[in-house]
Amino acid sequence: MEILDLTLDKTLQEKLKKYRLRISEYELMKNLLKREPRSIEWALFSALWSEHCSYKSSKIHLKKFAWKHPRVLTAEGENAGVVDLGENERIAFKMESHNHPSFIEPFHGAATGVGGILRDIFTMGARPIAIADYLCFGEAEAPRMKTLMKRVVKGISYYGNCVGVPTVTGATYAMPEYNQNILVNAFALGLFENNRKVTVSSAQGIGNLVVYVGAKTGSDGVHGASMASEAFTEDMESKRPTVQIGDPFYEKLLIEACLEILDQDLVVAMQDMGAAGLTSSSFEMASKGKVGLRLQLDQVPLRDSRLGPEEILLSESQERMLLVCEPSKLEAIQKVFAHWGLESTPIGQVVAGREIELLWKNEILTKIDPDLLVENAPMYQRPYSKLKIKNEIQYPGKKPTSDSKKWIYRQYDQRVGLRTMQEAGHPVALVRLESGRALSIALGCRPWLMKQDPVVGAYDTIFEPSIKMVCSGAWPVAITDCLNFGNPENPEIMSEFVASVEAIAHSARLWDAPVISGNVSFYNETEGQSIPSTPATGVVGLKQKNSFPVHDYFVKENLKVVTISLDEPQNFDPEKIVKSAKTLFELIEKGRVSSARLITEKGLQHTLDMMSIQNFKCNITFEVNFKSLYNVVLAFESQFENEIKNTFPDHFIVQGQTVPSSVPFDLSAKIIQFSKTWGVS
Amino acid sequence: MKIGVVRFPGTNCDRDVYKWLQDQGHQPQFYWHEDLFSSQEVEALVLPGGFSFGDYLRSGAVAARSPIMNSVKEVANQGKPVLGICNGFQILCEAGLLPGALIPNSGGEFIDDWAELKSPSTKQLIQLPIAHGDGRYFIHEEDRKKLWDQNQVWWQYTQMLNGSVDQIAGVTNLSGNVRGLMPHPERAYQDWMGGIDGWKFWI
Amino acid sequence: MKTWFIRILPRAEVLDVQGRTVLQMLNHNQLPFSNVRVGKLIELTADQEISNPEAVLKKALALGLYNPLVEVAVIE
Repeated sequence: MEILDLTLDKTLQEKLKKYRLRISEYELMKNLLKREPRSIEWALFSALWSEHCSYKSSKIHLKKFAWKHPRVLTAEGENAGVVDLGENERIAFKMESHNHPSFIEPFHGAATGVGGILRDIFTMGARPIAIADYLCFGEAEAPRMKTLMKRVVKGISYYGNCVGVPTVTGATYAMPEYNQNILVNAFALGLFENNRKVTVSSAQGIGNLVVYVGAKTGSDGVHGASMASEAFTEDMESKRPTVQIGDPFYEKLLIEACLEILDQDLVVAMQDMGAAGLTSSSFEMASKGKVGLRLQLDQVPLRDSRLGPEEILLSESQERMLLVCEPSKLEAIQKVFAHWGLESTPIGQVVAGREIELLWKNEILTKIDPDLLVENAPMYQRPYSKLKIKNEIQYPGKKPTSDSKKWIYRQYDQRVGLRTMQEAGHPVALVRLESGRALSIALGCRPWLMKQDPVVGAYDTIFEPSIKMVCSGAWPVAITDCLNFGNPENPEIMSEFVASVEAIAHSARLWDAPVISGNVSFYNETEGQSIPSTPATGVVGLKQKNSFPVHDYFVKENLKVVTISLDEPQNFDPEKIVKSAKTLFELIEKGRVSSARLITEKGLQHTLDMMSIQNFKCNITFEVNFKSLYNVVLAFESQFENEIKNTFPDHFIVQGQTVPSSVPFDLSAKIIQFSKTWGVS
Repeated sequence: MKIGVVRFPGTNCDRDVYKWLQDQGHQPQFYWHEDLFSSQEVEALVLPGGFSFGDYLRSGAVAARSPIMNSVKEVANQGKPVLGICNGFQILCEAGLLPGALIPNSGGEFIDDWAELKSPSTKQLIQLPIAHGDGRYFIHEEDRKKLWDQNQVWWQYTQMLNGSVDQIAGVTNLSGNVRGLMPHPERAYQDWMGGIDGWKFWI
Repeated sequence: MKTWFIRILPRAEVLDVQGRTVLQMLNHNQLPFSNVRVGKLIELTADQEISNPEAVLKKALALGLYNPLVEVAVIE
């Protein structure tokens, strides 16, 4: 934390604190503006130069993800990445953190996290079709932790279920290191149905209107962080709320209205109002489009008439979008929004030049070049050192995660939308596309592994979910990430950050799955104690239609069961592992494998138990202390034994057989009817 | 058959139900809650699941007072089949077209799972997915007796799931044409969905 | 036997999503209300006399009957 100079003007000190800016950033502001910043400009810089909006500590390194891949449609900097899967199917997906708000108010924090990521998806024109969540909690006995866990899950359930998007998978970890900083990362994926084009966010066309749509603006989230540290008393009625409240019902209406106007081709550009609300959306739209804007802030629909221009600019009221349209299209847009019961009000125009003019009842508050804020945000070269692979992995003795997660995903609607082929509870989720192909979704990052070896742990954030999806007959196509770290000003942490980015970038190349979007969350620390570096990832893969069925549990008796290892103990060679995975994938594609499942850190017996949910189990009753990281259980017909042995000659560890089980039929584990070719209805 | 699918703000299983009806060979048509329609236009109606009006106040409470319910009542009075699924069931109860009420699950949590159902009359067993927070069926004792006496209990859960009286999962009106069900037949009509008991489940 | 009531409402500055929807429905039906907040009423009954009920009720509230971050509780 930068120590304020005691000789500084008291009001300047107060301003720096209120707007969460450093003295160096203030100097930069003065330099760029060539004068003292005006009151409203403090608010603008505060919003856009926050770590969350500007990526000032990470931008330099995130460039390592850039890769002009033929499958990726969007330029860097768009809301979510877009992937072309061929056969006229395009998807967009992204992951985002909502760690600090969820620690303060877990229900609403988690809910608005889901709401925010959904908006990033449909603002591009994709209908959200799947949600996933990555959660890290502390020990159950830690103060507030039980409540935090329950309320976070309830918040995700509340928002996802009501908005009508299934939450199909997730990952949950519990370690004492998260006692004072929980992690709540939300992932969402959308589909561009009916050949809908990808909507851009760059404003265009002098004379075009800037239109505000969605919910009215209130004082949610204004100066949120400075309030968070205050103690809570009973009579807090008069204070501003630090908590943003999301309304999934309104979001559902917003999704339908937005997709409808996009289908009718009424929109030039659209951006959701997320962090830093109206400020970030308008400034980014102008900066990207290289145009000027004139905004009449007094035209913004208000829930609370006491709000002034600064609060309007900083409000983080949810379920709002900003769009640009030709004047002739306004009426049609308003008709659609009126149908869905939402606001739609023009609040400005696209103008000549490159400046944004903010007006309040005809008084010009400021005229400022958006690039000053968006393009010239400070980029910090935080010191770090290069990390090496340690090759000393030890499986955690105690169970690193809480046991069954069923209590979590039982609260999530899995099946709305009629696309879910494999839901939460399976190692990966499978979501059906119109072509009959399926998307596989899995989230990665194992904090216990990150703690032991950050470089291997970072590779693992891609490798673990990818190998899991290979076992389901899918291969990764693209990646998103949500990098949760402590204080970037700490060189050790920064080193782990850089190592993570480089490992993920390398993994993307090896698996041929580009990183298409992402998010960075720094300063996950309390009183100097940081979380373990947690670079969470969302990996999306594709499973071909009519591929041979492969299950993550046993479906037949008299099958041979073996375990194979894809890597060598204490010798992490990423290229070799991907090659082995490819070999396994080809075996599965040829229909040689009946069941496949990656063995988790909970051990072989636990994995075999999980595979025994339907009438068949395996006669292997001993435990194995694997030294390698990626061990897979395979079940296959004996006729393929030689072929499989020859494909993986050095890697068989154990052998056994499937037998009928006397365990009664588990109703909640649904079997997919066994058919020769999979995916034919 | 020409089947109307009623949509309220917040209904989110409408497209699913449309597809389910279409794939079974019917001609579904959407109706928006603010629009009245002539009962001549349809041979049957479905009120799909979701969170109409966010389920605010009570599930289905606000939707049940929507203008379109007049058309729904007209269709019901003509003896045509009307099916309410999940939120649709809640709306029909709130509108007085079906007896009883749906209140929060006794466990206090939303439940997403597969449920086994039994028909009290035919003893047939089927499996359908459930996904609801307010699925606990409640009815007063005197009316409960009438329900059984008049053969209005349509399906029961074979296990205690959400605290419903007599583990009731679905009921019908007196004449049997209006039916409500908490589980989702439209989510189980193709192999890959995990079950096909939703195929030709209703009409 | 004595009964007390605690009225819990969303804080005035916090968006009440239920209230907003109910207000729209009422206005849509030409009822001239300008604001609606939907909360809950908690009824507490004690068989014996309680000497300092206000302090006891405050203790009950502190056990999580309401969420002070987003709600306000009034003892009636």
